[in-house]
Formats: sequence, C-alpha cells, structure tokens
Amino acid sequence: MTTLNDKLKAALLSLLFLVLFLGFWFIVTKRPTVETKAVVIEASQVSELTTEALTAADVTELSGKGLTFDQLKQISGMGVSLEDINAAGGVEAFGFTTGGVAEEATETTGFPGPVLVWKESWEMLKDPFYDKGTNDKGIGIQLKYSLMRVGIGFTLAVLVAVPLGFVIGMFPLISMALMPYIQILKPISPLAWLPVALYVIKDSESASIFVIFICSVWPMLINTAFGVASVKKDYLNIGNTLELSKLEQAFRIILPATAPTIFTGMRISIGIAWLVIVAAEMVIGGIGVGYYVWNEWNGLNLAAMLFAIVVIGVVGLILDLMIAGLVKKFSYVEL
Amino acid sequence: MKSFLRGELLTKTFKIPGKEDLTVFQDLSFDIKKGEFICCIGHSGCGKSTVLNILSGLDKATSGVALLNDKVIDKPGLSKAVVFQNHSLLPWMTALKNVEFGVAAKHRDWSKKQVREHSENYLKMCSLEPAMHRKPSQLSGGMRQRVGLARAFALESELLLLDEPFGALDALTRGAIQDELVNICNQTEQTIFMITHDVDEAILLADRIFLMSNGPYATIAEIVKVDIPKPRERASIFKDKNYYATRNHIIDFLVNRCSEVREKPKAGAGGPIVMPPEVSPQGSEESLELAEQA
Ligand SMILES: Nc1ncnc2c1ncn2[C@@H]1O[C@H](COP(=O)(O)OP(=O)(O)OP(=O)(O)O)[C@@H](O)[C@H]1O
Ligand SMILES: [Mg+2]
Repeated sequence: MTTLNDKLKAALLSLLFLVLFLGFWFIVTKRPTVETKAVVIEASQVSELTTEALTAADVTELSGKGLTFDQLKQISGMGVSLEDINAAGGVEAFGFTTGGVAEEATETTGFPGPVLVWKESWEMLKDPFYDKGTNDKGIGIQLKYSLMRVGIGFTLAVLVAVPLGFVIGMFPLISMALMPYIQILKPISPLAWLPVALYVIKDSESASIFVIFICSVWPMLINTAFGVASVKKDYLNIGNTLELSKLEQAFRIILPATAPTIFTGMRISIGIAWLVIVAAEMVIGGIGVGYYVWNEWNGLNLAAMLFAIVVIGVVGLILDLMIAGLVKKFSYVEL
Repeated sequence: MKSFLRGELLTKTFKIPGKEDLTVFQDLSFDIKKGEFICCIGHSGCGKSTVLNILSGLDKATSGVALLNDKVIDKPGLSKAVVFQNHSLLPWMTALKNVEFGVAAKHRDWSKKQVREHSENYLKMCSLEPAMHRKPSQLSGGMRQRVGLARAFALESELLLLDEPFGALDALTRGAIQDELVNICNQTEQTIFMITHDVDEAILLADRIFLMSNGPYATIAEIVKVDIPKPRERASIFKDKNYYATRNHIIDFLVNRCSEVREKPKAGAGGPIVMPPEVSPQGSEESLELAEQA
C-alpha cells in the first residue's frame, strides 16, 4: 500500500511536471508582443482632419492607434466624435483595420500558447450549451451527441457480447466453431466498417453507432467467453451438489465468478469506443466532439481545438474510472 | 440391515497423456448401513479423495458402481453433502451467505428468515458467529474449513461426505467440532463417510474404519470394527479395554502392512464381489492395566 506521504509526493511531482510542461509550452509559443505601429501625421495634415466633432487631440490619439491619414480622412468625413467611436467599440466597428489589430490577428494563426488556450477554454466552459447554428454549437452539445452514440453502441454491444460470450464459454464446441470468425473480425479497424455501414444503413447517425458497436463487442465477447470457460471447477461442483438448474448455475455461480473479467472487458471496450467515436465523427461530420475538433482545425481556431482535445481526454478518463469502479466492486479474492 | 451406501468393484484409472495409465484403486467393494459412521484411513495419495468424489457423484469410476439406497450414484445432488478437502467456498459471498446459499437451494419453499435462522444456527454450532459476515478471504484456514462444515451440516442430508474436515484445525477447536459432529449425527441419524489421517479421531468417531492399502492398485485391505460402546468421551475413551488394541492394530497396519498387501491384480477388473475382511481388535483387562501403569 502506498502511504499518504507517497501519494503526496507523487501529487507534488505531477504538479511539477505540469508546471514544467506549461512553462515549456509558454516559451515555445511566445511571440514578441506587437507594438501598435503609430502613424505620425504632420501638424499641417491634422488641421485638415479636424472637424466639429473631432479635435486635434482626438486625431493624434487615433493615429497613435495606427490609423493612416486616408483612414482618418474617412472618419472625419463621417462626422463622428471619438466618444462615438469608443462607444461603438473602437474603429474596428466602422470597418477599419489598424496596423496593430492586423498584427494581433496574425498571432492566432500561429500555435496558441497556454494563456490563449486557457482564455478560449474559459469562454467555452462558461456557456457549454450555446447553439448558434449548424457549425457553431457549444462543447457541451457536441459531447452530448458523442456520448449518446457511444452509450447506445456500447449498450448494444454489452447486450450481444455478454450472452454470446456466455454461450461460447459454456460450450466448447460452439467456441471452436466461432473462434476463427472472431479472430478474423476482431483485428479489422472499426473505421473500415464505416463505408459498409453507411452504404447498408444509409443513415450517418446509425452508422456511427454501428461502428461503436462493432469495436466494443470484441473485447467483451472474448473476455466473457474466457472468464466463463475458466471458472474454477470447485465453484461449479458446489452448484452441482446443490442441484442448481443450468440457469441458476449460470446466474448464481458463473456470473459472479466471471463478473470481474466481464467488467474488465467492458473497460477495454469503452476505452476503444471513445477512441473510435472521435475518428468516426471526423469522417462522418455533422456534430460531435470529433467533428468539432476537425471543424475548429478547418477554421484555424487552434485554441478551441486544443481545448476540445483536452476535454476528450478528460471525458475518456471519467468513462474509464466509472467502469474501473464496477470492476473493483465485483472483484473478489481467489482462495 | 439393508445396505445404504454400497461400492461394487470400484476401479479408477487416470489416463495421463504420454505416460502409462495410473490405476489408483481397483475392485473396491464395501457396504455401509444407514446411520453408520465410517472413517477411511490410508497414506497420502492412495486414492481416498477419489473414492469420496465418486461417492459424491462428482467423479465417475472407470468401472464398477456406487449405490445409494440401491440407486446408482451418477450425479451429484442434495442427498450427498460434501465437505471438500480444500473447503471450496464461494469467495464473493460472506460465510453466512455461503451457508444460506446451500440451505436455500435445498429448501426452496422456506422464507428468507427461515433460511437465515437455520444457517445462523449451524454457524454458531461451529463457533463462527463473530466471523459470519466476513468473506472467505478474510477468514483463517481453520475458519474456512468450519464454514464448509457448517454448510454441509446445514443441508442435513442423508449422507455426509467429509474429506479431512479437521485438517486445518488446532487441537482445541478440533475437539469442539468433533463433539458437534457427534451431536449432529446422534440427532439426525446421518450416515457419515469421513477421510482422516488421525487414528485417534477415527477411533473416537467411527463405527468402522476402512484401512486402505497404498496405491497404485489400492484397495480396502481391512475393515476395523471399533468395539467401544458409544457415546465415547475424548477424556475417557482410552480407558476402554479395546482402545489400545484397536489403535495398535491400525498403526501396525499403517506402518508395516499397508504396502505389502498390494498384489498385482489380474489383468482386467471384474470378478465376484469380495468384501474386505473385517476385524474387531479385542484387548484384555490386563493389557489395559499394563498400559495404565506405563
Ligand atoms: N485428475 C487426475 N489426474 C491424474 N492423476 C490423478 C488425478 N487426481 C488424482 N490423481 C492421482 O490419484 C492418486 C489419488 O489421489 P487422491 O487425491 O484420491 O489421494 P488422497 O488419498 O486423497 O491423498 P491425500 O491424503 O493426500 O488427500 C494420486 O496419486 C494422484 O496423483
Ligand atoms: Mg485427499
């Protein structure tokens, strides 16, 4: 057993690694902060620009923000004051790009640093369920769809794999007859099924669920079959001396004896399912975390993309922990 | 009296791949009456557990039959409670649940409460009350063995098959459980077939003791009828005149004769059913006095 002290040390060490990583990331992605390129406008020209609304001081301030003479000329022509401009949200609101702003815009096309990603993440987390049309939905909505697909596909896989695994484990003849097919089907990448599914089912939603189903089914099937086949003879003997029916034998002896192995299979399956859904959604498109990552990449919104990647990791961890809890709950010490 | 449990020319041969077949015992015949307490003694590996497994229906004889109430034993069942040598308990259940599992399987019409009370009684009898709610992995070896016993006792079956049930118990607990065993069989008229390595235990408990010769081709060489009136007390049994005679007879067998009686049997099992010879060692009053002086 690890002592509390050890755990604390490990936690501190983890934290140190995180800090080192963030520091490294920060330094690598750091750019020289862009100075606003102030435009110098001669006094004679300033007088040309001043209007009733725009004073000379205002003109100097605007030019200091990087507005050129031509742009200032337009502004003065519009007859707005500096207050008006600030109230509207700056010169950008009027469609002007200043040298400084333009520089900042180029920064987002480079690899984002931790600060930017954090800001972006915070924005997303504040309102995870916003919905502004097909290609602009909050991360919460995306997750909901992905989790739903994984949930349905995985549940279907459990319903098929566990009973079938039981039969395979209990009857060696069936096991021997089916094993060659299972061995061939198992190593096929789940994504290879996608075109088949799309062609046969003709519905992208069902196709992605099918892909999840097919990738979750094998580990559970094999683990269940193996677990059932290797239940200790002693346990079966107990059931036999008590004259249990076949069904009771299956539910009261074999099932509890195999539960840890079955749940371990489920744990492997849910991990694979979560890996596969991201890839499947990238291919199928529409909605879901996988598509979201792809979409943000296409929009060159790398900070949002990185945020989504971290979210995928965290959700995967939670899924794993949930089933790990079940494994622990049903495990027992062999004598 | 009519026979209750009967073995007829039981032979067990194990096929070991790449090696010669191993015939553990051959042409084993015996006859046990209802309510009898039989102990079986023999050196390790002579095939005692294998015989017991055949009687329980979990294993099959290569040839010959075992009969319970004149019916061939061909499958395990509730009429034959077994305490396995490795006290196999279900590790995911507490001690109480293990016992309840058996009781509920036997008495399907009982309420939960009935099952629990019945099970608790037997666990208490095996002094397991404080450990009732623990899982087997949290029990000591002796405790596990007692849970196995409690489970078998609680089934109250006609035939109780015990494979070295007291092996992992210390002398004190062993005595207490032996007393319980005597109580139980007095009350329930169960027939008991018990394997043991302890000669004193066998003399204390058994009506007859089966002495098995060494394998391969083991057989029941002799049946010792223990001529000591029941009830027997552990503290006073050695005062009986037949005690030492019986004890010496058995020990002499185990030390000197168990390997010599092995004769290479004729090829192929079969032939008439020959019951093993039965002896009832008698001691004289003088020998008892001599022993007391010593
Ligand atoms: N499944 C098996 N395959 C091959 N040989 C076996 C098998 N089971 C038992 N044997 C052999 O049969 C013999 C008798 O075994 P058994 O377990 O009946 O002995 P035992 O008299 O109960 O010994 P112990 O007193 O040590 O428990 C042993 O020599 C053993 O090696
Ligand atoms: Mg044995």
